[in-house]
Amino acid sequence: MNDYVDITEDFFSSISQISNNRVVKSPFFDLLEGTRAIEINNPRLDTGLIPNELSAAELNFECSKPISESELSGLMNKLFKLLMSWFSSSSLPLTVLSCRYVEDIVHGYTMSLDRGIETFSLGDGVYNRVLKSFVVGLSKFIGIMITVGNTVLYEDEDITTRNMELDFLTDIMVDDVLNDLESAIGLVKRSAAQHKEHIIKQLMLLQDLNSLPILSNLQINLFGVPDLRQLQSFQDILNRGIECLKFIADHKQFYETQELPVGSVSKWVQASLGNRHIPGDVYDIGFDETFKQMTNVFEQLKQIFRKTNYIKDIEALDLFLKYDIQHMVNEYHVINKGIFQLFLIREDQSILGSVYHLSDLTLDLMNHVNVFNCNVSNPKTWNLNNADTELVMDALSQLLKDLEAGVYQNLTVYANNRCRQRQLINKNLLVWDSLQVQSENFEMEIYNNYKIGDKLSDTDENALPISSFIYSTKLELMIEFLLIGIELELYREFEIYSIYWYINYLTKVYINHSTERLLKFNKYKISKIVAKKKKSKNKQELEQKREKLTKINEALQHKIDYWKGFQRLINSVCLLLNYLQNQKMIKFDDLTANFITSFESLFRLRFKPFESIGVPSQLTFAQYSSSFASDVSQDEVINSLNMAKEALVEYNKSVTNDNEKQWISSLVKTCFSYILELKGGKNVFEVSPGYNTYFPKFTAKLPVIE
Amino acid sequence: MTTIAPEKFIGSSLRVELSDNRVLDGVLTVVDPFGNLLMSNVYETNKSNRREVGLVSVPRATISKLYIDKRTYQSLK
Repeated sequence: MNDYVDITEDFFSSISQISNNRVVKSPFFDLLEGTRAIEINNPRLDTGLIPNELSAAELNFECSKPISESELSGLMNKLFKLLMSWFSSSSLPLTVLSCRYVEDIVHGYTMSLDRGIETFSLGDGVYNRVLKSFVVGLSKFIGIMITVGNTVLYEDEDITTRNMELDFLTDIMVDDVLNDLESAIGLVKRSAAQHKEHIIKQLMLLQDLNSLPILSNLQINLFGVPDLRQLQSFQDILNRGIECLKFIADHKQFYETQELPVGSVSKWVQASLGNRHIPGDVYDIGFDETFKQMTNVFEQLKQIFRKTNYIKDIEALDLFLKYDIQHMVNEYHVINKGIFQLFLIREDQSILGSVYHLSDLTLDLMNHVNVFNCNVSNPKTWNLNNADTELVMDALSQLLKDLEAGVYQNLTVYANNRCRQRQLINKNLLVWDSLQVQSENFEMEIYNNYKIGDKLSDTDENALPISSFIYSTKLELMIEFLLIGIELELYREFEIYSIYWYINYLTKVYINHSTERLLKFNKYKISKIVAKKKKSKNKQELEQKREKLTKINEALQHKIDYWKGFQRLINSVCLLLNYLQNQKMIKFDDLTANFITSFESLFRLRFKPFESIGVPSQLTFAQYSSSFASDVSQDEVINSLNMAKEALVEYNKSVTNDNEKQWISSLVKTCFSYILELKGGKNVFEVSPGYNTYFPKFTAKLPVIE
Repeated sequence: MTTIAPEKFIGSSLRVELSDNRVLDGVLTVVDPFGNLLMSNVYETNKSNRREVGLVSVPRATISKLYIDKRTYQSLK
């Protein structure tokens, strides 16, 4: 302090010169930035106050002090709970980093230049050495999940990766961590511990947790014979994890009564490291929730991994992504969401690590809709000179490359939380709309200039196969965008009719497009092949093409059947809501009196994401206003719901994917519940969760019809 | 004693002793007429623990002593 001068008096007398209540500030400082400042002595912001509330044991905690067997087991149990609490919307300083041993290992690693696994130490006692291996293993797993989170998850929504600028063992190899844990297991076996099995199960469980991210490197033999050895070996890891979890859950009494070294878990880290965090209490979701969530992680990954091994074709892949991942995503643990996204599409653009790449998927997706055996996609059938062929090829390659980017964007949607799925779909709509414009221009140009193209039927109408595929994908995205909005409860009660009404329109367009362009075009190609076959010598090749096209059309028809049933349900909901309005239960039109702005403006705002889309043409407010019928009867609604129900029941008979079956069943139940609701309910209009996330329950007691 | 204009302190490295014995070292960025400070690039020392805390607002009521290094003080006068 010798170099300092006390200016307390000088300074405060100096500020008395400040006039007119102004502040004196640096010219480089924007006062708005001041809102980010941490206010000293404000208990809600200032973590520097934390030491005042800590006990002497917490303040003076020594990590190298020998621990007992009970403390080892108790600490590992506590750390598992803190780990899963971190995944439950909490932060590292409030969970795992509140353990002094974790802070010591990770902080030491961050500060050290010598970064080998052998450099870690938490004291010399046997149990201290075992604890060291456990803490290193846990920190490594956290480090991996931070990387996964930064790569494919959303900060604060899925996971909080803020790590107090600590390095969670980035350069330590997972294999070294697993070996170190194995050595720790050996140490326990050779020790005088009384509950060796209890401790070993905890160490094994951590080994299995660290093995989970291996999934994102496994290579699936997509559409082929599953690699049973690989399947078994990963299943073994998962099964062992599940077994350990069961053991631990069954011995809750034991684990929960073990001691913790006094002062080992506290708010210390919040005061000792960076002050960029809001102070908070240590967060612990408890034993039951921890091991329930962890079991879910293992069970879900087991299911996902098994299913991916048995995906037999592109249709099955599509169903898997839609019903097993996208619709189920809310049930998946954040660990699995992250790992799955990395597992699905790799850095080298391979799908599930197979030899099947994004480019193959893009071509297959198109071929399995309507592009197979087209003039436009088959340069051998072009009758052009070399220079022109090269020119058209270049343009086609560019289009396919852009299409790949669109397919990639769609693949990134699946494992996100539902809010992000909707946001990404909104973004992808623009991508697919631009692709459609680009593709139409390309197909029209090569048709006009080089006569490359396909006829839709015996008329001269251009089939525009690539553009038709893109349009079909875009329509699905538009429908999904509105439906997820219903699931997320984004729409107000008075808007709900307009949303179903719009979906009804889009599904009709989709069905019409699928039937009148996609199916029809494939049928036309089949008829051409049959005619050609009679005269051709190469009958076998033509027969193979015919068979493939027939299969494609069967799959298309199956999909159309689903959409027909779905559209009937949507149509029924529109009728139902129209009927409820007629019964004066709710108002969907003429809402001017209730708003600051006009309902028309609200309507336009709601469908703004479709404004820039050229086709299908956007529905207007005038069309909406005239969509209500004044004579909808209860019988008409019930008949419509019954028809939807029958169509969906019929469709469900041919469904093989379990989760799709369940999904369709929930739609069928929705039809039943609406019919029941129509026959009696409360005397107010209410919207509450229904059997299917896209169809809430509408409750309204109607006047008794005399 | 000559009074130094408050503007002159802006941008200087100050040491603030708080009433709870913590010490803050940082650059004075803003001061208001009530003596509340806004300091940037602040390091907090609490007993033996020293850490970076960044941008900090220090209410007048929490300030026990203010120090400045001798050389800076000479240049301000």
